Amino acid sequence: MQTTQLIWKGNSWENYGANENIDPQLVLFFGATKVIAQPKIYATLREKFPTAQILGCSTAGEIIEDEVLDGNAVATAIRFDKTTLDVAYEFIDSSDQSYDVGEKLGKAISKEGLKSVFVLSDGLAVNGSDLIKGISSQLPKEVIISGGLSGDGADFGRTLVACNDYALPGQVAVVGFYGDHIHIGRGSIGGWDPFGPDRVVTKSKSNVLYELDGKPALDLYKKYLGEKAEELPSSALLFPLMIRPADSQEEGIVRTILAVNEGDKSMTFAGDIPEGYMAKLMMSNFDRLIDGANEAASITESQNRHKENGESLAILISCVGRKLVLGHRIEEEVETVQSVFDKNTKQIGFYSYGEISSNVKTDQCELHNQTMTITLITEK
Amino acid sequence: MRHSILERQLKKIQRRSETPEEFQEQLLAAVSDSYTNFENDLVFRDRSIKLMSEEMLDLNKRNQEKSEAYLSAIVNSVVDGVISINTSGKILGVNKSAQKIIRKEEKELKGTCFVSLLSEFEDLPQFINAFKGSEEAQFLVYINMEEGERIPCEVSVSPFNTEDNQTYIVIIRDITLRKKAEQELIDAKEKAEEASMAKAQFLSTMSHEIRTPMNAVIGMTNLLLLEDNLTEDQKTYVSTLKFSGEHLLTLINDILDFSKIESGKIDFEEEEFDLFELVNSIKQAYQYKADEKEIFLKLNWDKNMPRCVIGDPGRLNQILVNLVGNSLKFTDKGSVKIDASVKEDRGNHVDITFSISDTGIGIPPDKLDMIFESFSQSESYTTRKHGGTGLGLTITKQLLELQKGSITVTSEEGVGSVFTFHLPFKKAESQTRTIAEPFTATRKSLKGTSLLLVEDNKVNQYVASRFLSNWECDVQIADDGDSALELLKSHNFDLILMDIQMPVKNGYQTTVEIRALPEEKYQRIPIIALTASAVLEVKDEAMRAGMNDFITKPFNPNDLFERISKNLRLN
Repeated sequence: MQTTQLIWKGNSWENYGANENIDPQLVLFFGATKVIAQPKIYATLREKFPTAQILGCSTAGEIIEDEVLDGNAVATAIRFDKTTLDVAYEFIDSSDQSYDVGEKLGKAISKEGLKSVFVLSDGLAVNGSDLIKGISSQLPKEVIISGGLSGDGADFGRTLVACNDYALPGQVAVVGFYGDHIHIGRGSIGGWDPFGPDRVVTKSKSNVLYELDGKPALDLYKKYLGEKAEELPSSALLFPLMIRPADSQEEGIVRTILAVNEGDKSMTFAGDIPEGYMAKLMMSNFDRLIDGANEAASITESQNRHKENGESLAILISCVGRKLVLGHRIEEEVETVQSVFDKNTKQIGFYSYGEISSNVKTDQCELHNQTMTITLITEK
Repeated sequence: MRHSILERQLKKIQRRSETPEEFQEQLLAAVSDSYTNFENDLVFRDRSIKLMSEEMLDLNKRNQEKSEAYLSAIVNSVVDGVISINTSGKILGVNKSAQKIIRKEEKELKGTCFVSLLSEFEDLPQFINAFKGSEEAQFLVYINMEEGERIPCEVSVSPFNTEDNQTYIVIIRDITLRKKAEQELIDAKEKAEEASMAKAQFLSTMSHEIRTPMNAVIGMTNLLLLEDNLTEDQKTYVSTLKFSGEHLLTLINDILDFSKIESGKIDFEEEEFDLFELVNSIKQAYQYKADEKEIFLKLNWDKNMPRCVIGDPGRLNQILVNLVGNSLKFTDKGSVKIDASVKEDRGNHVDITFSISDTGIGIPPDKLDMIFESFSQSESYTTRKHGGTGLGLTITKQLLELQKGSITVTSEEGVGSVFTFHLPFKKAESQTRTIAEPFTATRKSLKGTSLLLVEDNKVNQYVASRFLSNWECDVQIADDGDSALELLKSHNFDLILMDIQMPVKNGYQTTVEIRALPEEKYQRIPIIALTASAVLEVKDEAMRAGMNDFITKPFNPNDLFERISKNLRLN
């Protein structure tokens, strides 16, 4: 397996660092909405790699090696020696179609020899939880699913996905990896801590939260955000919400905010917020987040992989909320991940509105928020 | 070592800037930006912590209020009154039920002394000690209300110590209704007892009322029998009349005894008497009848039998008369035997076995168990054929059991029956009893004796005075107590026969007044009570009033004669 990293230089894709030109089967590209919305982004890639499967999505920041960029675009071209691929895509209009769309994608993709599926989804019109459930429902349990929801900086305006075509909103694309030689490692860690009282989700519908403890959820966020309330919805990422069933004592799942509605004081999250669940605000600091990223890398690295044939590719999908907190120190989490992997591992990725990863222990695929989620691709 | 942020900023700025001025400017801007970010971050974090603290405080307060409200809802929903008091007894709080029971609002009660609400206690320690001293988990107190009303309550006290202070929790339960129900039961019981008393009183009165005319009937019959010029037919008529009268009297006595036993009103005397004489006299009394039926009547007196014992001779007489009478009644040929032997000698006490065996008709085996039950004779026809109330054996059994004795029966139909009973007696100190001089019955005479008969009933006056005159007594009659006292002033009497039930001044009162007369002879003169009442209390009362002896009417002339002569001799 061989990879070439590329960076968009306003008019053309250029090699990032010392890269050989290869003939890839797969090209992944990530870039700011306004950048990848330009037809030439896809057109020039297609020109460069006429036979490759080209998939990409919009971001809230781009990761290439140890660098975090804003308002740019990055790409990686992958040449597999033995692994084969299959892709599928579907369009989605509203989040209540999420499960159906996932189911269609799961059906569409070939199952023969399928080892893993990588998902790039619209970041705003999708209920990530339902989408994953839909995909999983059609796949054998052992197939590893990973990926992320596309972003739009801190604007939550328009997210795009590309699949062998120009990047478009309201689209979900998947690529499947086949054969006995591919190995996928994964890890996903947040580094956020719940604080303050338990709150009961008293009114919600699917992924739209209306009330906590009988009071508008948006009012609570505004109270905590203070001046930063003006920066909603992105500033809400400073306080992700951890939810768990009322009778469960286990650590809950983290939900990140996608949109707010001043009219009915509701908040839309990247995944379901079921009524009756307990919710807790979370916060973090630089060190906890960077430690979390490091742990995610360590978990990924610890999974048995075969490095005999050259390079590996680590796809880093990290939450936009982490970028908001870390600010100038954002690159530290990328650096710490890189420090865990060997020199032959290349890094590409983006800041997302949601991360998708199979749980290492249960193999259950879940939607994560506020995490550093790593997918490590190796071919033996 | 430079801070990692600064390192990265330097690297980035170096890459972008082309002149040293540009580098410096960008670097300063970046560093300043970092400071600002850091400061903002701090402020934001502090704010979040402050807000969270406020929320937690608020939540804590709400939780506390909620749990307090929950507790108070529980306390207020219980039916029992719950009162918390401090160690000096001041009321700290009460629940709704307590306010209802005490009929005061919480604000009136708060701060007042709990013990002051109760009737019986001075202070808290006394109250708590009383509670600890009671065996029950609750104990009864009365809560004072206005206008002297007292509410009965069950209370329990338990210490309740919180971190801040020591208190007691007092639980009170209004038991007015239960007390009322208890009182109703007591009232009902008393009413039932009163009714039973009234019944007994009625029986006693009726028996007296019946005995009075019976006295006359039997008395007159006895007088008639003394007449010499009766034809044989007339003698038979009069004898039948006498037999029937006496039979009727037995029936009345049976019913009276039965009712006394039923109502537990029977008492037993403890007096020294000659046991042999008693049993032998019964044998003698029935000898005539046995001879008449040509039945062999025999008394076997064991050599170990004590002569004198202490017990109730009247009742023993009644038992033996009943059993011997029965045996004779149901035996047409053969014999009736009375056996007396010692069952057990226990020093001061002796258990005696009497056994009455006959060769009579016997009792069918299936009736044997019922023979001592009320109102059952072995066959209902035997009642018709042989007479009696059917109560005789029931009374006998009860009389024995009440004196710690027992009775059994064995019988074979057509062969005979054996009634065996045991009765304990105290032994008399002296076994050599001075037997009353045998009464020479050849010709009864009390010649030279002056008697006063105090009796309001004309028939009874007549009957008694006829006997007394027959015995050559000098008899004066007083119709009431006052006339008796008057006669005593002008005459010297040797003896007084005193009726008890008289109008205006009864026999007791008259006796008391006689005994209170100044002259010494009035203390010594024998007074014998005459009464139609067979109740033992009457005898006790008569003795207390100062009388010497006691005869129930209708009297047996022999008995009357003996009593009079005995008392004259003693005097």
